Amino acid sequence: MNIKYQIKFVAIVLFSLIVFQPAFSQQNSTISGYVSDASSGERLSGATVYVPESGKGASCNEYGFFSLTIPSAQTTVVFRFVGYEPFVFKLKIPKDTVLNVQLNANNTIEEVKVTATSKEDFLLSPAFGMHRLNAKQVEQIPAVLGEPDLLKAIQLLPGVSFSTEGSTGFSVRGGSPDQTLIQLDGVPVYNVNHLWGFMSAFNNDAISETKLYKGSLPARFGGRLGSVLDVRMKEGNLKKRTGTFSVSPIAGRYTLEGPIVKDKVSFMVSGRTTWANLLLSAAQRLEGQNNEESQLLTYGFWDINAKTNWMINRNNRLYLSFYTGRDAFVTEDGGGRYQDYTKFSYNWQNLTSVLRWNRIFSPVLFANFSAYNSRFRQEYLNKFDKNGKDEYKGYNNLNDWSLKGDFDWLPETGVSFKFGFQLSNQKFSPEIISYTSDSTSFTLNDDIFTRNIISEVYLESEVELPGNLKGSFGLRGGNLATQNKNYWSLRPRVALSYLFSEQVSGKVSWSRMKQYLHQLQNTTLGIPTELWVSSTDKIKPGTSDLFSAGLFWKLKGKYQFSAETFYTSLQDVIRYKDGTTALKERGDSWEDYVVSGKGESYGLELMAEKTTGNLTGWIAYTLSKSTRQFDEINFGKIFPYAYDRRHKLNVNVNWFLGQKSKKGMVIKRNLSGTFNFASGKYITLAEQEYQAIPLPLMEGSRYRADWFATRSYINSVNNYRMPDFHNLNLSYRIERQSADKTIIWDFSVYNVYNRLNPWYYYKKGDQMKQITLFPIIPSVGFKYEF
Amino acid sequence: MISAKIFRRFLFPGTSIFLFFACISNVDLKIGSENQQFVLNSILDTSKDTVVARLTKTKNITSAESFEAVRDAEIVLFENDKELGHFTYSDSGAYFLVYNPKPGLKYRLEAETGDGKIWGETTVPKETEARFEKRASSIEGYQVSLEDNDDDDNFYWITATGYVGASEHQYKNIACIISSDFEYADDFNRYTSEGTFKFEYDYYLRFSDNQLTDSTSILFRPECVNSPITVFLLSTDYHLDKYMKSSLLLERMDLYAEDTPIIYSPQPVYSNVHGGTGIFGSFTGVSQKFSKD
Repeated sequence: MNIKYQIKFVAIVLFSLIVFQPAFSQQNSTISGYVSDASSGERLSGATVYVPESGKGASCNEYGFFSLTIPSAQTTVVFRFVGYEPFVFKLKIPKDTVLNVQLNANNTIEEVKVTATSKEDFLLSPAFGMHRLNAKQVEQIPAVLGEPDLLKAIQLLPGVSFSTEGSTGFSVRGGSPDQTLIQLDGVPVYNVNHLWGFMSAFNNDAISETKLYKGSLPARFGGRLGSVLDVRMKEGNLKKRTGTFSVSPIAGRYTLEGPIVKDKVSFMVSGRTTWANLLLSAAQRLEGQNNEESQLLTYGFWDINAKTNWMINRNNRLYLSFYTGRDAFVTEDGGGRYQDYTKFSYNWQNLTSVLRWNRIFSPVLFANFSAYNSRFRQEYLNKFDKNGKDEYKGYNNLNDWSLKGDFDWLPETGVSFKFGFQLSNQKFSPEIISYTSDSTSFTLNDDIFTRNIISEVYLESEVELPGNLKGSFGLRGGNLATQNKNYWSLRPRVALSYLFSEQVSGKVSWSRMKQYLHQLQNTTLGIPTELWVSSTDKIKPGTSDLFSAGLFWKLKGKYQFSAETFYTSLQDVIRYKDGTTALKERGDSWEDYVVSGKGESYGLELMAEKTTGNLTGWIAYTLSKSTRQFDEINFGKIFPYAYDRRHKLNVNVNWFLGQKSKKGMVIKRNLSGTFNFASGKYITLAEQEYQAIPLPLMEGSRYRADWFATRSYINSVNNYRMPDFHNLNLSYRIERQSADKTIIWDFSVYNVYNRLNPWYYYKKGDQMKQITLFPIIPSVGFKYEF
Repeated sequence: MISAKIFRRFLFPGTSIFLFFACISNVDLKIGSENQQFVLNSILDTSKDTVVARLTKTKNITSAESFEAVRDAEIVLFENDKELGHFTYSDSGAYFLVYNPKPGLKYRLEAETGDGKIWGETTVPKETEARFEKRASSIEGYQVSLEDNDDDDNFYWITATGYVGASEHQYKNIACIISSDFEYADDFNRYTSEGTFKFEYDYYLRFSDNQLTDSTSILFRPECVNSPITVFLLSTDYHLDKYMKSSLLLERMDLYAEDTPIIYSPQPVYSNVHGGTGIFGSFTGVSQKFSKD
């Protein structure tokens, strides 16, 4: 591997751009700056700047920065962001000018609801297949036990399917969960689950905005095969101290944000913890289990988000973000005078931290540099002696150190470039096992780790082509250096959009992707026993080709319709061999029990969305098919992928019922509902059984004789589709808002008509049984904002 | 590996927070018998002079009826493509052919049912050179020393049979556990142990010859069988090896999952039978009987 060469290359590119770019920029007058929220100072990613006279415009990048080159004559400039009052003014700019604009939220009675995409993104941008959700939208979607959950909210979008009901595990366009890059403030989060996958690791009170990219993937994103979920934390209010305290039946959250130095430095800190442990203790007490000789179970999780940002000066800004979350489970059994003692504990923890530096080199060149670390650690302990040493301990570790640079160069209106680099040093230490007793001690697998260096650069450009054609062209390339092997790759990205009329556009795209790490999943439940492993000398990186095409129609400014088709081809994806169980202790490498194969998925997504007014929401329908093929699984035959939901329909409605004033308080009422339908989940189910021949020397054996006399006949993996899934969820919300505080009560009912959706089937005697995890569940949530 | 039992112990209580709301109901999945298959089973054992084949049909998983035997099929055994003879039907779907299979030869079993031909092929493994001795020093057990045949891929299974129960009501049984520290053993049916040996294996200790040197010694101890004990080293063909492993994996998962097998997804049991399902495999074995002293 020639790391030095790669670093030198990146340095030369950066130096050239910084030195030579003023020559381009000085030919026009450029307005540039940030657009932010007037009340909090929070940057507004996606806000637009528009010049009516020329019809030219630009969008703010993810840091709220814009740059627009306009004629020097007097010009009208309009700043807009959905949910905010437009800001219009006339100006004459003889030279490059910095404009930092603050927009006021629209709080009139005709409350304008936030929208998924702006018109510019929706119709004009070649990039498509992108959805935007903010924290308020997520909060208004009815959820199990009233706990708002980002990862469940995105499952309502077209092309996103789910594993089991109530789970945060999701699949985008037929990809596996690990094929979505989930990043928080630009840092990959390797485990996004709490509570065995029933809650996501994202505390909604700490989140500002989320974007899901699933169609054309810009070249600035790499490292995954299918999609990107880009989650942004709140930056911290620069104007005044605010906070929230929220309670749901399963968890509590507290968030505080405010200025450290007004308009210059701010902070945000948010913590969340579950009450599950209290519920479990109460349940055990009720059952009389909490005594010396019975099994004792404890479970808890918590997470903390923290962020500070410092506006050093007009051109420089620093952000420091931190996230950590931990789940811990302990069960103890026995230990009384006559009983063997066993203790089993299992915990997993994420830790991410990132330092980002926003730098405006010139009105047309913006840069963001990030240095981050993301860690994920799973640990389990099996202890057999309460007082002495007799224990197994195992852990899986992933440690990712990265340095990134992202540049936005906007030399003239209608032409923009993004380019950058990423250097990552990733260490994977899977399945390290140690055994300690009074007499012996040994460690397995401590030498089985993978240290990889990833060096990548990218360039993407968005240009206006003749006619109504607009193009986005990108290339991402680089190298994965494993211990003894280099994997070089170049991945083109192409997206074209054509504006048929002011209201209708068509788009096509192709993205080639590479994935250098894999998640091995060996249960049907999507729980965190999943193991992250890297590509190695033996295991190749995964490759995918994503093709998309779509038609987009915007009607009367408040209705959006889209129809997208997609085809995805996956190569060199891996999974466990049959029969591999979780939590191994073996001395072999994990590479010995995985197989490599391929996959395919295709489908049609339809979406109709109303973005403004008292009644907002969307209807999304997906028709899709997804398959996998591995030489050593299912005897080499193609089988349906577990996340294949042939039909999926989601209706998400939010109805603002109005507001009234009473004793100095504004009372707002809101009704939200979701209706969800999906084809049943594929499972492997024995529909028949057959008489088996005894294994050698087992004839006449009395051990499990009945079992060995019979085998289940399963002709294929995922041979059975469960009945269709559907439910209706409602939420009624009352906000009592005064000058300095808001109290929100949320009354929700999950699964209103008590549909008994199957979660699992099993056979007991001659009868098949069904477990339904979520029948009708009412809940109440409370939130206090100050 | 950490046993599925422990895995279940932490998974189940974990989900129990939500299982609090859960309900369990009987369900009719409307799975019919329209895909009923023929089942052909036979395992060639070079120590036997008779080859037994069984031909039955699959049945619906919720059916309480016994398996349907196929009585009027024509079953033929071929050795290196040469017909050896037709089987004779006995009862309960069992067919017999008096013949002693030979190591190193290829066999094909064909059954003509009137609804199509069902067949499978196996090559009987070559005989293994191995010897056993009983160890009665600090660690009690049996030691098998074997010479691996470099020419072939070999799949070895160690087990033992013995007697269980009071002397007047003894019955023969396979060892419930094989204990061993052998580092190259397959861990698919393994538990950790607090006893003399680090690991315990359900019924058999399996290993392949991938990492073996030409000469290998393995110390093991069969559990829950009494003398006289017969210890075995079986060398199976590829198909029987996969069939045994997939069967034992499922059995182990099923055992620990108990009533609600949510911790695993069932998988197809290996079959090399074309036109139906079942197994046609073979093995050679080396054994030695050890009496009480």
